Amino acid sequence: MRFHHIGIACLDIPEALEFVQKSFDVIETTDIIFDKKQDADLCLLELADGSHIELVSGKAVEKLVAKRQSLYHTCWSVNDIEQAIEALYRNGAILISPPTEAILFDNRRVAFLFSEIGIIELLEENLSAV
Amino acid sequence: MTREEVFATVQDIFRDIFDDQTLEITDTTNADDIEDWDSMNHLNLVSAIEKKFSIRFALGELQTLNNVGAMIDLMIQKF
Repeated sequence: MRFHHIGIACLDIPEALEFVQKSFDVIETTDIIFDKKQDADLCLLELADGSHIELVSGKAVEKLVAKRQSLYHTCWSVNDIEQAIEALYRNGAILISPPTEAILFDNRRVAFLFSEIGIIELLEENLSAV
Repeated sequence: MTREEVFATVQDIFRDIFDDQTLEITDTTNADDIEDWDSMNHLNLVSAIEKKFSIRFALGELQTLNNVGAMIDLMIQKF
């Protein structure tokens, strides 16, 4: 399991994006994509140090935004998503949504779990890319 | 543990999660009845219940829990 990105809940992605671009060394930005399955607008940024930030807005995070809680999830890439879900479940995590294709990640599958460290997103590894 | 005892403990958990010591739940109480019962608080409830009763809900079981009574019935099956 390898750390992939942090998911930040925001009210308005263009506004948050402007702040991040002014404040950090952003080298790549995806378009803002609406993911019907997550009911959210999403945008993935890559920083010069290789880290990634996902900006999330919309219904999926509106309660967090209303409470001014910006940390939405941490995302971890895994080779075997089913096996990773089972391992986290055995450690006490609760499955929120089973593996489903994610448009932001070229239809690689993601799953969400609730845990002692907040919401965890698992992202299936793109085994063809290194 | 009787169903009444389970119910009383679950009510205490609800009061803690929703920060309301006067909250009264019934078997038919569901997310429509408690304003702050959103998906995140549902997960907080499930997590607190699992810890308090040392049980685990199976993957996929949570979708069947649409009110307090259903939750308690499923819990009792796990004792």
